[in-house]
Amino acid sequence: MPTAPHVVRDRHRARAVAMTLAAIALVAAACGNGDDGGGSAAAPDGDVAGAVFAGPAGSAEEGLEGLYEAAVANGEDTVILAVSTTSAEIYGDLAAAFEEQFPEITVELKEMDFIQMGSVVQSELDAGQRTADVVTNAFLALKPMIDAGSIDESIDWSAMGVPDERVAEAGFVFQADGLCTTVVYNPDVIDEADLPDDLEGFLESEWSNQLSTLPSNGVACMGFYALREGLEETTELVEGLRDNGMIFTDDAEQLMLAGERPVIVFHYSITAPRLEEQGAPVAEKLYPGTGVFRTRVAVVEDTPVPNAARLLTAWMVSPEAMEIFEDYHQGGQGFVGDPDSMLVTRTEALGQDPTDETFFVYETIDNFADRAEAASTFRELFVG
Amino acid sequence: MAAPSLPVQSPSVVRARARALTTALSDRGFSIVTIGTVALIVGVPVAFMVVSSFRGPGTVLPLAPAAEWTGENYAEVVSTTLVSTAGDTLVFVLGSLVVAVGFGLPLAYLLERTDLPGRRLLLLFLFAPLLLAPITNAQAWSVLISPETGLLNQVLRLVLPVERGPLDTQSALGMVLAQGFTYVPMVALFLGPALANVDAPLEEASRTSGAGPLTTFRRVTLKLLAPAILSVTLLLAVFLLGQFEIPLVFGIGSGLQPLGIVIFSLLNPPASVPSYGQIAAYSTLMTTVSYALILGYGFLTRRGDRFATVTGKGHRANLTSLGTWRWPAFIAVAGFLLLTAGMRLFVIVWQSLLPFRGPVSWEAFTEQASLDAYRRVIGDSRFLEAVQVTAIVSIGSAVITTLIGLAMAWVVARSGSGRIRRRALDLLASSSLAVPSPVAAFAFLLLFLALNQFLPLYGSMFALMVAYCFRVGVAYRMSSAALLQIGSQLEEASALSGGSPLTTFRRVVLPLLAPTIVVLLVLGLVTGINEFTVPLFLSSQGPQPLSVYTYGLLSNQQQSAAAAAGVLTLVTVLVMAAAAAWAGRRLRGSSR
Repeated sequence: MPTAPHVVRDRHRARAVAMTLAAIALVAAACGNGDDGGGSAAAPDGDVAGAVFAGPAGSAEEGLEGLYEAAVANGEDTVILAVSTTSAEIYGDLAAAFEEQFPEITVELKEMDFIQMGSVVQSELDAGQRTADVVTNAFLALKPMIDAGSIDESIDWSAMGVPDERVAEAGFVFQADGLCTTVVYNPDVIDEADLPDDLEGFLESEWSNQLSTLPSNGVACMGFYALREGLEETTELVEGLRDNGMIFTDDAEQLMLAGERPVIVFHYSITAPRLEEQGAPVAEKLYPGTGVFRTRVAVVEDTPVPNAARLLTAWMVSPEAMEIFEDYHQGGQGFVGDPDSMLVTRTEALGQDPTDETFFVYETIDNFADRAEAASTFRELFVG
Repeated sequence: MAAPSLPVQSPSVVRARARALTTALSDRGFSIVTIGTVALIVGVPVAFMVVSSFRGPGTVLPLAPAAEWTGENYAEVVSTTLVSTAGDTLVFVLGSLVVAVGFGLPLAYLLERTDLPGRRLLLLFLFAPLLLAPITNAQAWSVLISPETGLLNQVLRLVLPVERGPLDTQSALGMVLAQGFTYVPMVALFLGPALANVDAPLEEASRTSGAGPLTTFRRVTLKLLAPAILSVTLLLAVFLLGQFEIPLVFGIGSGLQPLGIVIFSLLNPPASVPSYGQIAAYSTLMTTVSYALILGYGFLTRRGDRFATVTGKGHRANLTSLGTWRWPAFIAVAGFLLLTAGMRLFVIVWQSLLPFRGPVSWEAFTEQASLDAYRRVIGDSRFLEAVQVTAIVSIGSAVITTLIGLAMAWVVARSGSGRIRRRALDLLASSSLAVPSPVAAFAFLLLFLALNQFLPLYGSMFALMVAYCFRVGVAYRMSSAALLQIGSQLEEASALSGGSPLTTFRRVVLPLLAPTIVVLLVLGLVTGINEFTVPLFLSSQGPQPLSVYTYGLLSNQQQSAAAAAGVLTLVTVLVMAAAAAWAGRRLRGSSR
């Protein structure tokens, strides 16, 4: 459908304003307020771990306002955001905050198991269905969309006021990091000292029927381990764990808390802090090969609401949104490159420096396909 | 030669003929519309799935330009997981049947044919868990037979010398027992009428010939019931082929991975588009097996008259006296129901009050119990949306299913339609029962996705509503039974008195059918509220129904909230069932 001339004019105006403001912000940043960034963490991998949180960008709000005006002028009143079921609550909070700030746009959440997201959205795009306008997930989960070229890579996020350290490859912006915590356990049942020194230790008979993992997150986290140890070795490990009675279940945390299966292997860092808050017996241990997944946000190619989708995406990495996000997660997710991030504090309390490339494995645009392949292999070990 | 003169007909004859012609035409039109509607709901999705199984590459939608005809999907399925899946499915289905029939048959006998005390109360206990949503039922079993903290295991350990278990969600035995016990009420429900109809004199003759009650049951009652048992077994086997809530909630590992789990896993591969073609091939093969079972069921049902003992000549179905075994039998039945039914309901309520899973103890209750989970669920806007979606879809599908079921029954029993049309309807009705739930759900998903460019139904509530109507065969069978009980003389009398077909239907048939219609509507509503597989596969857009919402909580580690949602769903269903029972009684009273 042709776009009305006034809308095109509005879009151009908004873009021009955003670009100007972004340029001013860049100049201001270059003039040296580096201390505000609060980050001088050494970056072993400039692409991922080295992203340093730089604080609010002066131009962001102006850029957002421009996008909002354009979205309203274009009649873009609803934007669909695909989120992982496990994160639906926090994205509900974020959506509410967004709607409060931009009252003429409604955010509709499209919830699904995290590993299905790319597949479901891509299938719906193939079927010509109105689907998600914005997706938020790790590269791994969005692989079918990336492979099909369904992510809008043409957007210049910097020009829209998104801080540089939040701008990622392939049209994405960074939202937050999380850990594929290798072991989460019930300290009322298991003494930390009794945990083996490496994951192979869990192949011993004393751990028989003591282990579980989540169906989707488990294989995704095993994928990180495979990036470090090799697919063959990790497959052998996973087969051994399976033969030692490890199960894939959505009930993993409850089984762990009840002491039924007190150890979750290859868990993720999101829920443990919240369980701790509720007074549940939960502790974590990191092993070499712990993965760092990065939640990224992107606009779906040819979305019918381009301005609203860009606005939501850019807003989701704004300081205001990130504050809500980090408060909710209490260290379960944060920004590895930001020393003030609760995730960093939490990881350091577990005895590790989250920027230590020799210990952690980071998801990048170059390795996510290998991780996906590994994840498929591990899934097949349990379900043919 | 004079032209032959046309016979002169009186205006009343012409009118009568015209009316007969109109009736015949509207009859024909009605039956064609009915068949067409049922074919759209039942036949088209399955046929499309079968066709799709020959389209490839598998990851491409069957109508996409890149799709071609191929047999590779079958080759792939046969060379990979078919054998292991078939094996696991066989163990799951047969094992569950052995448990269900093994416990259900004696239970039905005791409740129907003996003087067991408190039978009404026991029947209530027996059937109560049928109202639990399948996903909540699976959660209840998962909590109940957890090896360490499961209440059932705690009780069993009081009498068995084991430190852990003895039941385990991760063993094939645990899975089969949970599924089998879930089906015990259905066995009792289906076999109850057959047991009630066994002619008592035959059993009395056996006893007067010196046979004990057990021998009489084994050599007389059981033999008379053989066709009924076999047909019920086949029907349950078809239902079991599609069951996957219990395996899904119990987890994937050392337990069984039956068909439903495999289809669900194939549909959700990690980080890739599913291979629709392979899933279609899988589903087609499994549907073939299921169809064979349904045909067997139909065959046995038709041949059942060879074993008929209700002849109308001195038929009696006396209760067998249990004598001194009355109270021991009562304790055994009550204990069994307490362990398998009562405890299931109890643990769901218990779990909804406690924040985490753990052993049942007074200490845990006094220290941790709260209504927080209920507050959280009721305060969650997604729950309210789920209630709304569930109400709309369930009511809509219940009404549609009832109307179509009645129309089908009418066409077969009354319309005088041809044999082919009647056979077509019967075949479609059987098909709607023969296709396992995950297969039906996948067939609709595939159809809606593939046709979405032309018919944008995918993701809509209407699509869910249509898919919920898939089991229209049940409504048809129940409507047929009710319609056959209404003598056609009443309708003929109405017609002779000048009543049009519509008036006759409205003023004669409808009031007589009212109780059945209420039952059908309630059954449709309860089925709709508890339906899990179809919305799990289909509803990826917007608010989801209660069952999927509950599963979302469960898979998101929120056991207490999931249990609270399950309890709230159960309360809703109970209220509806009570209202329906009241309405049914009123209608039956007024139709008399």
